[in-house]
Amino acid sequence: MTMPTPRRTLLPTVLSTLALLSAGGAQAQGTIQIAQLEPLSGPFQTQGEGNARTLQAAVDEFNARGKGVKFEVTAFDAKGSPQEALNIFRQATERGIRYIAGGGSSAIVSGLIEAVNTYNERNPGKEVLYLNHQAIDPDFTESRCSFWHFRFDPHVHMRMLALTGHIARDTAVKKVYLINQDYSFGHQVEISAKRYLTAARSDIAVVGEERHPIGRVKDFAPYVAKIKAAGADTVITGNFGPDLVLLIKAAKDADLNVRFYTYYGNALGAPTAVGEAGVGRLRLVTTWETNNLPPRMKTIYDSFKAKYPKNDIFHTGVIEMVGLLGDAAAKAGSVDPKRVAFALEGLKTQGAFGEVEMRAGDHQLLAPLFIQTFAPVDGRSVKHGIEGLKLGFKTDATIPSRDTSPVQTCQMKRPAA
Amino acid sequence: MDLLATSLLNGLTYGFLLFMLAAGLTLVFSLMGVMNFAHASLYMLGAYVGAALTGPLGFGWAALLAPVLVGLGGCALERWLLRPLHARGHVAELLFTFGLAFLIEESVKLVWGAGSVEYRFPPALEGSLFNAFGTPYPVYKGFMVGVAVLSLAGLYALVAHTRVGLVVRAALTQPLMVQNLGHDTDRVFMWVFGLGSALAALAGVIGGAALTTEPSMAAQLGTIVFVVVVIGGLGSIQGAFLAAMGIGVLQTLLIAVDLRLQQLLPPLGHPLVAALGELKISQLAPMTPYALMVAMLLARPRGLFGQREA
Amino acid sequence: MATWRSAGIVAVLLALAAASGSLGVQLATQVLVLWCFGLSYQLLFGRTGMLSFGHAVSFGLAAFGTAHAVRALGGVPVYELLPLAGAAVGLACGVVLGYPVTRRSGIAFAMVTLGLGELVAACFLMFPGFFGGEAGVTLQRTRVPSLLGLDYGRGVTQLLLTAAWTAAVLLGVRWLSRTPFGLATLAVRENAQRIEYLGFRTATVRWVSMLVASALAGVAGALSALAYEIVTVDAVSLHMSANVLLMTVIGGLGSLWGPLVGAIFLTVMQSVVSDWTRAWLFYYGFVFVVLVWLAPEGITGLWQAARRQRPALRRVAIALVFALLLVVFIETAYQLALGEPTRLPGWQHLGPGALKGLLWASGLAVALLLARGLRRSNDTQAIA
Repeated sequence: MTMPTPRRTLLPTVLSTLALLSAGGAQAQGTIQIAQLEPLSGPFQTQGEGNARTLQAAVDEFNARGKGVKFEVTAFDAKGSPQEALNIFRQATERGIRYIAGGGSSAIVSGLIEAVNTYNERNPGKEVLYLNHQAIDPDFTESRCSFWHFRFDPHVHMRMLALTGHIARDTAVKKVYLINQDYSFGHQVEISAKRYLTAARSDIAVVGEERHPIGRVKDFAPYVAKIKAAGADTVITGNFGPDLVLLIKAAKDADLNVRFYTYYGNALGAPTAVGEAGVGRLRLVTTWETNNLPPRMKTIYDSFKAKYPKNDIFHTGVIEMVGLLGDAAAKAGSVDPKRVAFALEGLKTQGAFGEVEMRAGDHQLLAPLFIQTFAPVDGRSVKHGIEGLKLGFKTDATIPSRDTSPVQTCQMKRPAA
Repeated sequence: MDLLATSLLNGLTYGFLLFMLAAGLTLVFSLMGVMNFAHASLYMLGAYVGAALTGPLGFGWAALLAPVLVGLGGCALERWLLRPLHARGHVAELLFTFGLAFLIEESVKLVWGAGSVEYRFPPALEGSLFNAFGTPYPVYKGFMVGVAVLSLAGLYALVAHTRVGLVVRAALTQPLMVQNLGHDTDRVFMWVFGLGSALAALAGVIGGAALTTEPSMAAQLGTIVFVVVVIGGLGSIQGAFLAAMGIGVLQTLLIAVDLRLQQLLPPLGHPLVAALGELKISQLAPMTPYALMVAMLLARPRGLFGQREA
Repeated sequence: MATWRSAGIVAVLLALAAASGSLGVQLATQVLVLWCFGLSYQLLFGRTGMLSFGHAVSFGLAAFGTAHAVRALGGVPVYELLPLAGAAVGLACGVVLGYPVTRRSGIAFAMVTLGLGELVAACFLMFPGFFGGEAGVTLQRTRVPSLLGLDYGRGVTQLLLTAAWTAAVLLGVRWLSRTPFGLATLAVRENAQRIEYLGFRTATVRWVSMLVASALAGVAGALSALAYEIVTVDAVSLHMSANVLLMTVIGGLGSLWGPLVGAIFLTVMQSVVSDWTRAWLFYYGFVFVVLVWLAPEGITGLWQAARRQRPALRRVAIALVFALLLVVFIETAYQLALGEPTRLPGWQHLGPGALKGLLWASGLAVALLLARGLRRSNDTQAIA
């Protein structure tokens, strides 16, 4: 099992890897060293820990298959601060690590992309790649797309396409209420929901839209009262964490039995905190599901749950990252970031739950999505409980990646091969 | 109309939770002369201890035992850590409680992890108490109000109608004299601090189950409680009650208002003002307590009913 | 002179950092920026006794202002003077927020600054043009050419500029402390009432002190924006205000080197210790609490006291043993709670039984030492 290695033992590894790389082998022998930045302390600690643990499980599974390329991950605590993330970036590049993953928040990812672009411009031949497994702001593969950035998670609009497609097929849905946190992500969810809902089915009406300050609302009862007053039968929200939990709880208190479609209903302790109140209400668009696990995913899931029974994997971003990087390195015959980047472009391969494609034009992964509902474990439609509870998620629909491909607007500038 | 009435009811309920927290804080302020930054941390500890005890003992016993345990912890805190700081002045005490709040949050993460903990009201408290304006009012909210009212009544009775309360009131204004008369003011202060801590923990036992129990809960509620105490007046329980109700109702009502600012203010053409005008009142609602606190401190630092100036 | 010697030591350390690679340069820049920020806070709190929980407002708004200035001034050769823009923004904050606020003192002042800080931080979503929303504002240093023709794309050059400005702030604060105004600030802290009788207006002294501190914080904010090329809303948050408070208290409020010690401490904890253990935040808070309780003069105060009278070897030994036991206890607890070994050497080899045993043993030892220490200090209090 690979464990995060402190500074001292990294040097021999770095030296030997550099020796290997300079030998420039035709086979993809070698180690892909990834510096994973996550918020491992501070308010988003659970998210960071979850990603770090999932990545470790995915890397262990990949390394165990002995495909020639090996992964080595060093986790760093970005503490939710862009300045700290930049310090870690410098530290990583100084150690010779050329794959940077994660970040934690949109701000950090944004800062890292800038830093990577500038670094690669100033250091040709020593380029680093930035691997985005969680930040789903569409800008990163649209207006701010970069050759050195790859996203391994469907972004906001793609998930909304999946969601609205599914909602449109449900004839019982007539009135949708949108409630979101008042910041860039919440705005994007709201705007894309309006855009895609009206396009999906003309008789669906958006009966209300609400933006509330993030993390400050303690009592969602007034919002729930507004939803009731508007007569909505469905709610779409990008809320996560306490904002989501309190919303669902308030809905239960007010006897509001509508469908709540969320982006992060299975993450950040929401299932544990929501509990019974979520059954039937809490729904989700996600990349990860546990009712039909393919063999590789089963290995990863089992090894994760064996160590952390009260936590859970909530998305496939890091898993796809490992799989695709491994395949790209094999295709390129090298672990050099630039060669791997060219190999990643347009790569079609078996991802976590089916075929996935890393679109060459904007470096966005196209992958299937699932629509799920929170329900009690019954061994058939809900096979596993989440976070150690007797409740889990039932998969209502699988949306193939062709139904969620976003419009390509990126004008990618590529370096010479 | 229905919406406004529901919001009023919800606002009052939220106000009662704020009051339970603010009452303890203002009591402690009147004896220490300083804001206890760790007060919200005691609230958090109450929630976590309550959650931990509910498993083996059931909610009822947990709700009784958790405040007692945290209250005793508060006594120990006052006796061993805060008392020596009295001589060094208010700033030292403020700094210490600030650091303590930080430390308690980290310790909670150490013991219970960084995520949220499963902690809910028992089935006996689920369901609805009555239907108000088309929306059911949950039993647990009624329970919350009931507990708050009982603790206010108990506190008032203790302070106003018992001998112990008499000594406490005297010690708050004339500690040296009371000591000369033979009472152990140090011991009185210790028990008052413990009582304040127990009240905070009681609020935590209820709030943690009603809201979420996680390490950031202290920081989230902490600043609002300061606002309530400052506006109500430092040292005044009636003030804390009125301010808590006021802020609870104001925040909840404002969230229900869908008007944009520009509909209230005259248009001024300047792009900055136009951008401001786009904002809805409901988006500004959570900020109003801070604005009120700043205004109050600048205009009347005594607060609404305070006896002492901050 | 002692000051020249200390300055020499700092210069040597700077040169070492500059030679140690881009991470060392970045960290050294960070330390200097924090030192500058800490100096401004020391003027406000350490000298004038105004405990503010919102000092980051001046710092952060200046950082944003500088970021926008860089975007607006592309091509104009004024790079070295950009921190003046920061100072201007900081000064404006001091003027606007300062006058009504500084008429209150003590707890009221602290609470007002807390409220104002929260208000400004809550405003960030209302002005996405200025604050850049959640992603913040990025800037590129190289857009503004240098007055002296230097290349600020290189980290080392930026480090030298930061050092120059921090030295200017340091000298400025030092000069100020020797003026009548500087002495008046001390007097206001000690006994505000009496100084009124001597003809000074307390409110004016406090307001001017706040103006200067805000302007200096603005310089620090500008330097921070230029060093990292990104400014986010954390720059005005309570977290940043708390950091400067913790840092200055830990370093020591009484000496100009205090904020430097605090800055080094914070940077080491945040960027180095955090690589080895998840508990770094706990240790940070613990050091703060212990210092407030035992040594309010901070680390520099302890150092100066130790130079005047060497502490008993026994006491130092007990302190070190306690620290070691505490680290063992906390790390073991983290490992048990998180299920992951810490990166400190040795822990990963311990099985759960050994860990639990170690937890109890170290926990008991820590509790005993704590109890003993508390009882002794309480006894001395009783005697005094």
